[in-house]
Amino acid sequence: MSQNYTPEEQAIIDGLRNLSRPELPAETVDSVRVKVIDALDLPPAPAPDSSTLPPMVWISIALLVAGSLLAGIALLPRQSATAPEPTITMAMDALNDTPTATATSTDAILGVHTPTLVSTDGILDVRTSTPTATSVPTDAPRRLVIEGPVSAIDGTRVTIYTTTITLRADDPVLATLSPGDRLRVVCVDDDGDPTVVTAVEFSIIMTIAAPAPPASSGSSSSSSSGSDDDDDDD
Amino acid sequence: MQPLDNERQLIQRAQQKDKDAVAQLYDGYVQAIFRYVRYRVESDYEAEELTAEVFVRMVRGLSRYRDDGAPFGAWLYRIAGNLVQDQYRSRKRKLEQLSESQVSDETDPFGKTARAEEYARLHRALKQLPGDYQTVLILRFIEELPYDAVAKSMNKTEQAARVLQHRALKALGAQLGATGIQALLRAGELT
Repeated sequence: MSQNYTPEEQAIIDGLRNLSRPELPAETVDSVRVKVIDALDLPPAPAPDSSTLPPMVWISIALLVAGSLLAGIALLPRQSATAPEPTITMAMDALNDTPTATATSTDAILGVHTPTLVSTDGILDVRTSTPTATSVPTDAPRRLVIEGPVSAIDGTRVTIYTTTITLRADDPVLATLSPGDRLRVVCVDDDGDPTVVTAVEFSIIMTIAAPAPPASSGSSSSSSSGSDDDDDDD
Repeated sequence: MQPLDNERQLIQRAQQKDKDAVAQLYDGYVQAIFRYVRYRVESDYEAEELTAEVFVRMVRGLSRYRDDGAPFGAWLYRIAGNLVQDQYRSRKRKLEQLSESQVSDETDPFGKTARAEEYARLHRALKQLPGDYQTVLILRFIEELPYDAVAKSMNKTEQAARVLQHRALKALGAQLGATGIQALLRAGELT
């Protein structure tokens, strides 16, 4: 499909095409090649796996999730007629004993009130419902578990509700992640600001898929439907 | 960005820590990645550092790389784009303190002639755009990638890449202004 450009657009395109092509000098190519080959001897980048947290924490998380699901199922009939309300969960500021509240919405699909922000300082510590401040004097980076739909993706930063999570730049999940996907993220709050944390482990627990095409005639019509989309292109 | 000969085999060998295969992948893509990064950052030094980092991350992430049909280069562009964006964030404040003249005089790689000055202005305007806009314009019109390769490099659908390109061209035109575009038209006539 050829594309028509205005003269102004064409001038810009020609200008871009005429920009000089900077090249990495040969000696730099060689020195970087050595560095890259040397990187083969480094251990591979840590994959986001379960080894980053002690097994005890994972067992606790599993119990927590199972409990939440059971509670949710029990409450589902009562809540199905009403819109889910935000749950206030607490992340405790370890330094000044001041509770920091983060409002997050609950599982909109199931209507289940799920604790979405969990502080795990060595041992699992879940705070839900009525916030009660408890001091946890530690300088260690706080581990948080955040679960919810992705509201924005900006480069390596993924926002869930009000929390921005930094992922590894080369993490393959960035290639597959879309707004709306539901994530469970174990992350580290290393600067004391619970709204900006660094992910250490995460999993996609629900993907928002594109609406399926009508399951009528041919099974291999994806390419033709793709070209139909081009009609919208101006 | 044509796939390398035997690219799939090279990747498999590289995943087995075959140094020759890693070197071939590196040699095959290093200049393209450097160009992309260089257009997006302020200096050769930054571009060299980031290019090296892209390939180090390539090596360290190879074991987790899965061929999903997208060109291998698309993965590298994604790593590069993410690194540039992170770099941009971390240096934003510092760059804001530099005057435009400092940036253009000291670090612009695009020559000193009158025509080159128009292209240098275009490059500066390009760098004012949001990262996605820069990427789509660089990959489409400087690297001459087709829409599908651009889309895969940016983790978007082809249709989304087309729309993004349209908006990016508009934004770049607005950034240049009427006089800037006229100057480009004149520069094009001189070519």
